[in-house]
Amino acid sequence: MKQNNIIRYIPVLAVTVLVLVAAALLWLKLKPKDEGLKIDETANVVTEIRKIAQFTSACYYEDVILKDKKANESLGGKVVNSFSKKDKPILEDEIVIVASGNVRAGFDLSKLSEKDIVIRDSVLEVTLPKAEIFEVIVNPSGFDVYVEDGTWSHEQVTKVENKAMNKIRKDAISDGLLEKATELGVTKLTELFKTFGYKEVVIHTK
Amino acid sequence: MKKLFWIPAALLLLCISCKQDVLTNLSLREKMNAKISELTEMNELGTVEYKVTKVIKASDDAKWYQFGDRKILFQCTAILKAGVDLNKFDPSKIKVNEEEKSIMLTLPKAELLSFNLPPESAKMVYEKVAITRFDFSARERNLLLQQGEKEILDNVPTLGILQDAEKNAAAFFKSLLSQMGFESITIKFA
Repeated sequence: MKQNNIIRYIPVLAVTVLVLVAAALLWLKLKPKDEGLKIDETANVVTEIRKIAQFTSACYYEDVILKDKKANESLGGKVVNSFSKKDKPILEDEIVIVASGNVRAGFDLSKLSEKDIVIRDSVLEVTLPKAEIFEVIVNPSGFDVYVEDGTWSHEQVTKVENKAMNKIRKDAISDGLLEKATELGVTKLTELFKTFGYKEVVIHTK
Repeated sequence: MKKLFWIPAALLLLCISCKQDVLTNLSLREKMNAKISELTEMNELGTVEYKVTKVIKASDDAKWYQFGDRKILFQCTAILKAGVDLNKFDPSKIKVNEEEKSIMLTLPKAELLSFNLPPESAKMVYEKVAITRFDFSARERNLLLQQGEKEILDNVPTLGILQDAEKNAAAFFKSLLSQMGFESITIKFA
């Protein structure tokens, strides 16, 4: 008796599935191609101009992948997995960001004072300031949202992006960016100053 | 009857989600372990820094199959640095007269050396999404910021940053060369 009831519903189910598939196909055919969001034209306003003298001698490039998870907010983030001993939410949002950035380092030549440049006969002696990191750059074009499950606010994404930038900065320092910037900077500036006619150029760093 | 339909459907969904998770995690773990980095030498003298602010706004009006609009507005500040790429500097173009203590230096033309739009300087100041529409995703927001980045970069020639960079580069080399003992200094850009 029960089996007969089930068999009776099969054609209804089949027709429902067919109608749904046909509707989906029709939707895909009729839906216009999404050209993507376009921003409105706005002005670029220069708010500050600063004179600098940054001699960049080394650059570190890195691609990092950062993953973050949070409790799904649609359930208030309070539904806890009762099967697990850990206080872990049952539904989690996940985001994976690929960041391609660079770190620029070198000497800030605006810190050179008169006493840092000494000329004896035709020997030029220059004392450079310590090599430093000028900036860590990861622009919007350097970020790729690879996985995005759930809702992530702009602030939450910014936090993950900042983590990626900090990682790139840390890796650059541990990979010897400052040492390389010092070594390369001294070589390049020695070559440059020699072209000014000095027979010998001696460069020290602080 | 209802149970008969929902149990296999739920099992199927669970299988699909588990499979995707395992695959995604495996490839990601591999990628996360492999550090892709490079250290290269540079030879650039940045002489000017510009801070440029821009409002990035977009309206996603409802299409015929949608109900309600979405609007978003960011305010962002980019830091642009310009100067001379000394890799393009040709030492054969330097003319030094030691007796007269004069020097003529031909520097390469100024160019944009770096563009920095840090995540924390792109602030979302307004967002309005109709209840019938999905929120702007992180991917969509980033695509909008990318367009803003491109617009600022496209406008670099009109900002006057390159002219300032050449002016400052000339001033820097004049000051440096006078400290080095030169009395007559001529700087050119080519």
